[in-house]
Amino acid sequence: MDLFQGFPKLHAIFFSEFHPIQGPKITYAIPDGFIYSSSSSSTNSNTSIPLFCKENTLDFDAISEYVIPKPELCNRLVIIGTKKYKVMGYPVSIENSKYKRNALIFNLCFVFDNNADSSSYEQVVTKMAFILKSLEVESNFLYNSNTKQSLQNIIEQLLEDLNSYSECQIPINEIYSINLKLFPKYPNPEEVHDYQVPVSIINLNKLSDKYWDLTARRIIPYINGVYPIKRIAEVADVDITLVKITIQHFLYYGCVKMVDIFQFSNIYYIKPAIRKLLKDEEMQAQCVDFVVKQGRIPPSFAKIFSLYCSLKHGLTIKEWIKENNVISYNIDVRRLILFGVIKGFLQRVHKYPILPNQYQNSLIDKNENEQFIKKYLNGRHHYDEICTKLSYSPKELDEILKRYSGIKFIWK
Amino acid sequence: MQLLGIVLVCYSSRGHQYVFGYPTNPSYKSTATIPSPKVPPINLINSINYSDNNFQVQSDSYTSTFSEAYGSQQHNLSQSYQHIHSQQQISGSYKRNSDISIKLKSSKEKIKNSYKTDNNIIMNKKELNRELNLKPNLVNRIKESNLNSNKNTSFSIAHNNNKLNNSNNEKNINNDNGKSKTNGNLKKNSNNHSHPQIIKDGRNNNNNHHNQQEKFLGYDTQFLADILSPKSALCDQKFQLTINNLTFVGHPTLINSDSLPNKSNMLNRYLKKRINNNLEIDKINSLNQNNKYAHLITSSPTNSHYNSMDNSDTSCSDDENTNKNVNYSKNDATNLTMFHVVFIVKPSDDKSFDNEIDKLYNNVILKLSHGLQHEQRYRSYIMKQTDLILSLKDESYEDSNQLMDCILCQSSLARDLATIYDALISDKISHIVINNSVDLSLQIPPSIPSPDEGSDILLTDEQILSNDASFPTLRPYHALLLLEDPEEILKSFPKDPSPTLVELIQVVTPMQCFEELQSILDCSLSHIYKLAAHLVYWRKARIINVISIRNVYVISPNADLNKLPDLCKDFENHFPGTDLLSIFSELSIPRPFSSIIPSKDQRTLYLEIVTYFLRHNLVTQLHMYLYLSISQEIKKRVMFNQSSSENDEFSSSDNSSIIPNPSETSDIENEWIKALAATQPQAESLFLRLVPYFTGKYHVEEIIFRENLTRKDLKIILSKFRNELITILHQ
Repeated sequence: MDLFQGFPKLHAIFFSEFHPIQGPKITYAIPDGFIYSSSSSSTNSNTSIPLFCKENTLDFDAISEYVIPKPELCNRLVIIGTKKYKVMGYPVSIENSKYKRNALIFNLCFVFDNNADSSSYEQVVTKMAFILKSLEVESNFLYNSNTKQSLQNIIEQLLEDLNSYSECQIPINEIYSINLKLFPKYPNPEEVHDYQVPVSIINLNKLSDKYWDLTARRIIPYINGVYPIKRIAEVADVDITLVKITIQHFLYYGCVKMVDIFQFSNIYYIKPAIRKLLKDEEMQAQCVDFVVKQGRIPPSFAKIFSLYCSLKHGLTIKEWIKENNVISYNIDVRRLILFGVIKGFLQRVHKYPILPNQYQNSLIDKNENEQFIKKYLNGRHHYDEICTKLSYSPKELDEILKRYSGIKFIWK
Repeated sequence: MQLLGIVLVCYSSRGHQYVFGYPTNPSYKSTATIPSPKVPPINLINSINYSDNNFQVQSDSYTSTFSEAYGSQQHNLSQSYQHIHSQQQISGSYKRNSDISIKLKSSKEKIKNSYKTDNNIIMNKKELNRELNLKPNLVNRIKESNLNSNKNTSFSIAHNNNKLNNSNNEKNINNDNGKSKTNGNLKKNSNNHSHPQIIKDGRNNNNNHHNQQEKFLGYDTQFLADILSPKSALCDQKFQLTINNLTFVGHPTLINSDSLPNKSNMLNRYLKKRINNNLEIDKINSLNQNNKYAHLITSSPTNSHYNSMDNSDTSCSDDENTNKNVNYSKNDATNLTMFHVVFIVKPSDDKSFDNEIDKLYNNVILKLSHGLQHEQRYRSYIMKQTDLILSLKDESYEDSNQLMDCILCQSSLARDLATIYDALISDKISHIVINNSVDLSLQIPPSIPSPDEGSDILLTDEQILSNDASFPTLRPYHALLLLEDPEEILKSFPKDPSPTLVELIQVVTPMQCFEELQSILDCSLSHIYKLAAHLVYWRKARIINVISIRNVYVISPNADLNKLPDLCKDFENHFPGTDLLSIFSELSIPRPFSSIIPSKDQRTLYLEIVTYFLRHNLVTQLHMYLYLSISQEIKKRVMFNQSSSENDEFSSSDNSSIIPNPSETSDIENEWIKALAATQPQAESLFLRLVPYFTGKYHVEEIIFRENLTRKDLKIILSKFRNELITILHQ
């Protein structure tokens, strides 16, 4: 799984607005002197004390047209890259005749490293823009120069808190307060299928409470690493689409992983990632612990490893158990396979039945399910999928498919 | 990441302009503001004719630097390997040239500027005189050198020469009161300019009905032109702007970006010094200097387009027309200050988005922008194409599709951009020749999995160390699998491919390893590696293990079974009488490929079938890897030898262990290995030699190659130490 690498460092926050006479300008910037404006440098009182060397500062004039943009660009999230930094802002424009140019345009911008992954800040920047906008509309927060001054402190605290605690809470007045929290952004989960089995990685029972989503609470007891999604929907009496959505939610937060239905007719092969297991002693101990039958003497890791290594294409679990006398080692075969699949060094080989075109009408005796099955015999659907859809066991499906002459199987 | 479109915007005297957007074809709204009657600056050097020959050489050598800097040699199809050395020399000399021509150009700029200011009569009269004192000198030298070169190259256009002479004469006459002369010239130029302007006015009037809003991806195009024309501080570097859910990536390019202020100052100072010193004393020196300049001015980039323009236009037109033409182009060319080809992409969710943007930028945008910049400099290509596209947009069309067809038909730049877009969205290589001169092959390079490992493997230490993780390591026992027919590949080559490369493509088969190829092609292994890497980079080939009937193949986990019906048909055409599906179902069990070949005389046919499968990514080869495990028995033996007790360790029935890294063993592990080897005295030494390879990192072929063994040797080891060696089969 992807590892979350922490939130990007926030270098600076600055508040910029369109001044009726001076045009776009920086009103407040934290840290001081981080952003310079070559045209209005004379107005800066502290130019004598350069806090940052020139290449570390940000030239406001170069990007001003993206910070205080034309109306078309207002009220959108705008990110502009410079050589060293990435500036994320959400320009807001409020039209009202009380302003000198009939409109107030302002932007609270956040500055990151150019190559930082700032996606987790997008919501925060947008929310801050909304907060300032409603503060201004409802209580003239920016119009009134007294309250506007407090923005300097707010920005300072924002920068400090977001960098150190990834969240912040700033009361502004009796009605408003700023509540921000950074959330990591994960990639969207993959689609889940009826025939997949969710396995919980963490204890969902402990984690959930009565405020959780109803569907989630209903299906959690059935996420046992054995039931496929279709079965969960049946036993929990929940619509299958709802189950899928819930499982996807769990997937997004990394609570569950999807594996195959365990059957003794399954075939697995070893991926090169198994080297990782050999290097990681902690994982080895975990593995031995996980696969041993409860209360029995555990086998040595070397034995488990050699058992893993003997899994290969063309060898079903059933044959493998027989060949290697697996029974004698106190091993729970299902858990052994599960461990390998979850750790990513075991890969299932699926069986795809395919009926070549010239044999399309070769069925020996007609059966009520014939039309149903036939549409799955194009090489795009594997046994698990067909069995789950039509509620057959693999053995039953084998029997049915025997009646089709010319059928071929592809193992992938 | 999803590429949504490519947009070209530029900044000229007419302001920010949206020129062209592909693929959506918006109806055109005339955004061109009527150019204010602007007095074109006089350009002394513009009127000088110089040898086209010189220019040609220059441009060629530029191309080579260009491709060397941005596509490494081995990656550029247009590069022939044989010629790399000579090209490097040329490019070296070019670099030197360009350095100096920058200086020169800045002096020219200085002159230009001085006349601009002169228009407002701000300029110091003294200074102006100084400039003019120097210039005629320069110009004369240039003239001389040009006349010489013209003789040599038999290139001359009477009209231009006349003009050159005239202007020089004028210069000489007006030497003392330069001001009045320039004024006169200014007037003349502005008169000339009035005509094109009227035409433009007419254009705009004709097309009032086209004033509906033009949109590209939902944005007003004028708005796009504005936001995609950043200030110069953001130019000549990567530009990345994200608005809501769209990212705009480009490389805004300033046309005169290389006139560094420092250098122009230096030259200026130098020139002033020259004048302040007694000219008489320095006469000989300065003569040499000027000669040097004269030679270099002829290759000054920004002016060459006037020349080529004249070439194409003057052949059959009268004087007046040519004058107009030249002046018109002069005006626009000097005003085009920035162009920006922007790629609009929709970000994907995953974290690699920035990475993908970088790939797009470095491999496509940067190369394209530099190529275009080069063509703009030498032949004002962008300017001409921009004018062409804009004028096409001004004409009336039934709908935007027809307009797009027309633009694509007439504008080579638009065609190139469309080609790039089409290739990028289908993940292919686009091959374009900008303005028939800059040869570019653009692609986002594929990430290439090594032939020996699955694509999803974690990087091993070795790969991290070799720091070129995107390329598989090449080994002498690897082979090259061409992904297309050799004739197809040869056809796609540029005109002068390396002869070795051509030969390689003609002779290579996936049944030969690189080592064998070496003797066939009679060149070094590293050279073959380079050629192979080159072909892999440009998606013409893949690196595989030599195809042999001993190999074990199974269906690849990445095989796309959705394409199966088409593949079946295609397969039948290639190999009549065989059935793809039957062979496929044979491949479900890992076994040597020879066992599914029905008879000996079909061996070649089946080897070709495997080649076909590998080409289409349908099968993958399984390799045998080895691990070493030490059984309890051996441990006991070691223990008794050492006679240091602690027997309770053996209480459990099974206590074997695996040696994770046999090359760095502990003392006790060493003892075990030695004891194990001693059990098979005939194979003891060979076994000990091979122990470091039993880490699961080296497959059998690699071990055989590294230790120079035969398969039989290894077989002996495998059978003798059957119980201790754990074998494993995977990609």
